[in-house]
Amino acid sequence: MIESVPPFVPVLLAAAIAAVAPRKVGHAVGFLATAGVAVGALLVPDGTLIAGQLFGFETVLYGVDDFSRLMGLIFGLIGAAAVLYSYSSEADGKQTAAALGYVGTSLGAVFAGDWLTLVFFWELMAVTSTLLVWYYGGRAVRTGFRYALAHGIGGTIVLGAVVWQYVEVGSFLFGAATGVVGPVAPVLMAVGIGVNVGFIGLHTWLPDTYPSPHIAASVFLCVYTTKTGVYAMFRAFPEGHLWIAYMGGAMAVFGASMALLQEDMRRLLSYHIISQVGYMVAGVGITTELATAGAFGHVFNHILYKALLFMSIGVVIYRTGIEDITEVGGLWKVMPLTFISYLFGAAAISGVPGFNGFVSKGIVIAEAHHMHNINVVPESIPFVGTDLLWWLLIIGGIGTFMSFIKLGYYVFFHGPASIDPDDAKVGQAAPMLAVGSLCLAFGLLPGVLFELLPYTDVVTAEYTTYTVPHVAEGIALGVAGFVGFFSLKNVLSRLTWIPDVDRVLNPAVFYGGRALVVAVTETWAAVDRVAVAVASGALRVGSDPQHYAYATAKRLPGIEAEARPNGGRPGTIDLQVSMGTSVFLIVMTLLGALAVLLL
Amino acid sequence: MTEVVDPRPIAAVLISVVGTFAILAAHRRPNVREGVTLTVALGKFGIIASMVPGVLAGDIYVWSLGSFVIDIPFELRADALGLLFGTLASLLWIITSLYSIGYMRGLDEHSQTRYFASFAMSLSAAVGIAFASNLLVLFVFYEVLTAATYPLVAHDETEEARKAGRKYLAYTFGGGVAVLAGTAVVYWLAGTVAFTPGGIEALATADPTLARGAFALLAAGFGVKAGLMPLHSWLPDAMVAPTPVSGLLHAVAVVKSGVFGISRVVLDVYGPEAVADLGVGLALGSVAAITLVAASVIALRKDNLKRRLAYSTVSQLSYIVLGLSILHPDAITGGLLHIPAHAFMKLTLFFCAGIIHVETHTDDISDMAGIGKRMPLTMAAFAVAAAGMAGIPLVAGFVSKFYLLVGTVSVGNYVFAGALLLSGILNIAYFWPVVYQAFFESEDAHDAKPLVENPLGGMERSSLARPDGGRPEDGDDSADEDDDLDVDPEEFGRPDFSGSSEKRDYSEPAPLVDGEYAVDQNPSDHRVEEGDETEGDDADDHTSEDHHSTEDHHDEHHHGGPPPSGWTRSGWFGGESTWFMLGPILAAMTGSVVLGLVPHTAVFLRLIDGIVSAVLAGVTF
Repeated sequence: MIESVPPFVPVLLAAAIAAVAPRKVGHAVGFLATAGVAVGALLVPDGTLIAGQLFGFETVLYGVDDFSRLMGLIFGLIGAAAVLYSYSSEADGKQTAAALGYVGTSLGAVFAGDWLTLVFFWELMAVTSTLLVWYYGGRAVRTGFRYALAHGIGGTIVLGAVVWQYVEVGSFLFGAATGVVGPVAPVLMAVGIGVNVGFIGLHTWLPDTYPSPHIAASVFLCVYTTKTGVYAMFRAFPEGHLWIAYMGGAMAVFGASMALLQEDMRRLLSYHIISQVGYMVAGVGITTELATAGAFGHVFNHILYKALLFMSIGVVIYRTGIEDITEVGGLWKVMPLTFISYLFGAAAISGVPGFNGFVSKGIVIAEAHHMHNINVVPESIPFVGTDLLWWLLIIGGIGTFMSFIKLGYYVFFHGPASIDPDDAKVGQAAPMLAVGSLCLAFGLLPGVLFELLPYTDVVTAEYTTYTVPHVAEGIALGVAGFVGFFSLKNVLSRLTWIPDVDRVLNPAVFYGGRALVVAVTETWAAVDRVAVAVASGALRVGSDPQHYAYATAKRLPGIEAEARPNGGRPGTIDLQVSMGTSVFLIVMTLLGALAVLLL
Repeated sequence: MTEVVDPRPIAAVLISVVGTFAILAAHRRPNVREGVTLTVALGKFGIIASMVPGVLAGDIYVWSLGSFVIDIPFELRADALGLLFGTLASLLWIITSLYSIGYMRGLDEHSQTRYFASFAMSLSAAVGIAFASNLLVLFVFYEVLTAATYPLVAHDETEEARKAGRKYLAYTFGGGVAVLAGTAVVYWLAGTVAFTPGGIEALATADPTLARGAFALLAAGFGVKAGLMPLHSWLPDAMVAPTPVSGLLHAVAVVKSGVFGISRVVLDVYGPEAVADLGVGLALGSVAAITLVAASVIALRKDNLKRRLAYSTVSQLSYIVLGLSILHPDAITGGLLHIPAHAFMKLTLFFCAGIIHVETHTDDISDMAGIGKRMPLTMAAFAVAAAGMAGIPLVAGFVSKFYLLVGTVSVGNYVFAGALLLSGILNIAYFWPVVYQAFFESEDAHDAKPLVENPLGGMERSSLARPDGGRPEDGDDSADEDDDLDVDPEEFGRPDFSGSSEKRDYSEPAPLVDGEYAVDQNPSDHRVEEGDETEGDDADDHTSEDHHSTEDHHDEHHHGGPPPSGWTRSGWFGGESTWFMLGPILAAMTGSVVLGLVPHTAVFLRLIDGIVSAVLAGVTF
């Protein structure tokens, strides 16, 4: 049974039910469907399960291997937690229906066995997530439109890449080639997927959109688009690609730095997504299997702790109505459950030893340690890596620590609590604590995590999590983070005005686009005016040729217009000609036509 | 390919001619008259559908009347390509007729008999075009179609409608002349004008210059109806016609007949190989690619919904022409598949525009904020069809666009592929705002439309009247200053409330204020000033007519927009309008989704596969 029903089916059915059923029923069905998918992902066997034809092309609708299995498991798991959180945060049935549609289409994308099916679901993911953002109304409508445009452009580029791949290889199936091949498809695919994962320069939609809708919607949004992007990046470049690895490193630093400058809670978290996705992209880009396993481990872990962070900060927003970190403070005493959840998430994301982030981040950084591509320090220095990528990832790690110390400090400490909100509701605390414990559990028992990862044997053979250097690295990052934050705290609070590239990009695109639109329409209008003028002019001349003949004759020198015969009507010239002249004119015309035809 | 003599092609054409007369005869009994339309439409579809299985199996149904001009026979032939168009036109006529009933009665329109009779005649001509077996018969029915659709375009009988009708005739008869000239040259070059799958042999070996000239004439002649730029101007102006006519023009018959003509020329007169060898394919494709992008760009600026849809049609039709101009089976498949795909999607969109007009008298997008409350089913169908236009999967537009992309990239034509991709993004840019403002924005807080005409980040607008009964909120205060006339009391005399009136000489006409009488400066609401609607339309409508740069525009001819208390909420169960109109909208939308999920099962893609393999037989890639 599991083999014959692709996971997206029950989730999309649940979405349809949630749209019309009462709130409780809809959420219950959604929870069951997503939890069912998670369980099913553990039980389903490997292989191509449903192959077929789509629009006349060979496709695989439901294919399972270690990578898609991992994605299915975590998507289902976090989907269930997020549905429970939505219900408790008073999200209504229609919003959760949109969210479930988004989850379902993401599942369709990660269990696809070919590019056509993946693109099919990729576009639908963009539509469903846009609906989820729009549903909230208000400011979210316009951000949702920008989001739709950004993803429309990204999806279009991916579509182009898929078509180029098909023309190059002759098939859409993943198995027909190693990733995307040819001169054009890899570039297009990297750029197109880059929009979804937040490559620097293509990332502006992320911090723009994610903070704008309902808090529960943000939880869904932070998970699916970016991670499906990482998965697709792996499918496109299964053997990695160095430029992608370095872009990942750059994202790690960029995301953390921009996060340090933010004062809106969810915007800070959104920039941080870019940073963490940078680790995943770096892992995919590094060519070794261990690095890929690390990347997917990071996908798994990041989904857990990022959703946890959005959930806990979401509770703060839900209870206080405040989204700005400078306006709250001291909440650790009055919202202890939320604070503990936040602590778990922050520790996990920063890579504190004992939490899951430490495990997967450690793998990626360890692999970067072995690289010697762009050496920035001499090899003789002990403990530190030599490659630029290692340094980028480490600096990103320090930045991560700093950002979460910042967020935690301003929200939960930073003076006495001036407000006394209630703590998280049961329905919110349950998923938060559950996910938080998973973060701790996978950190303390990395072997369990390794079982879920692809290339399990490689990982268990080549990587030991708790070694002195690894733990020392983790502690060193933490210390650097604390020191860095508290010493730079005041400086940072004065730098919050620094804008992102969308300050330049958005007006450029908008006004540039408008200039183009106006140019095209005005040019066309001018052409049309000329054409209409010519046509109506010809019509006027043709309807009264004698008058115009007179007017022309008057202007020509040497011709006495008044003296010409005018049949008794002044202001005109009689255009009748004699029989002889007529015959002459006709013969000349015919000779001319004959000449044209013969030559 | 066995030819079978069968009267069904001519029966399909004649049934609606008979229907035309029956409709005219039933002019005093509207329900009988509508019943005739529906019966004839169902009959026509039945006859044509009955020919589909045979044609899929390889038969071709022929019916001939003997020699017509010189040795060219007057012959009707139902082959796969003809059936593609014929099935589409007759199926959509059923849906359009139901919609027309709801629309015409909903607006209590005049001359409904003339309307339905002309409709029947137009469909007769359309099916004649579909089944024409040579260029001359196609030309005859082409002109009949133009003549039969004129009363529909000029239906309103206003000055604007007549102007649009004249423009329509000028363009399409001009196109017809070009077609006839091209036909004559082809006959002279090849000795025959009959449609031969893969092209007429003699034409491939004829003098290239003359062959190119004939192709240019034929392409230009059919291109008028197919909306190729720069011959497309008649299309946006023809939006003055009632909405089902716009649907007919844009989805069912007229533009599809233009595109069909081009497909016959490319596939059955010249053949794709000759088209590629002569180089005319690249020229035609370039015109199509430019039209594709330029029309979408122009659509971004249009505030009137039907005009935006008109430019969208111009753009989408060029997808078809682009596909046909490329020598690759996937490209031709994509182009031909876009014929039914676009028809279903565009018909849905036009019907939505029409039902909004009937129910709320709203024509402009800037008045449609929050209309999803009032018309949820309509706007949901609009959203689905708009998604299809942008090429979102699940709807038919994705499949045809995908085939087109594969075809263009396969032959290395990256510029055309880029144009197709760009057009998808532009479609999102001009359709999504309509959808999001309908459902997710409200009448008193939405951003000004069209988005391109307003500042970055949007400008807040409200379509509801201010509580003091003043003019609708505009977001700026200069509206207050226009409330009073610039009348100088010294000149005209102050009102005298003393009881004795000042002597005023009424033998002279009233003094003019700013060049017109004071009483005319703010015309009463019940009169719609026709002059306002037609100002500047000769220069076409690209410049300032359509976007609301002045506050005064709200007063002039805007009866649309939400009522003062905001849109009333209708449920999702059809309370928003009559099922005569909602049913066809949902049917057309469903058709586009079915075609997007299972195009083979929905017959059309099977017909197209047959066409493409017949036409490209013997060509290797």
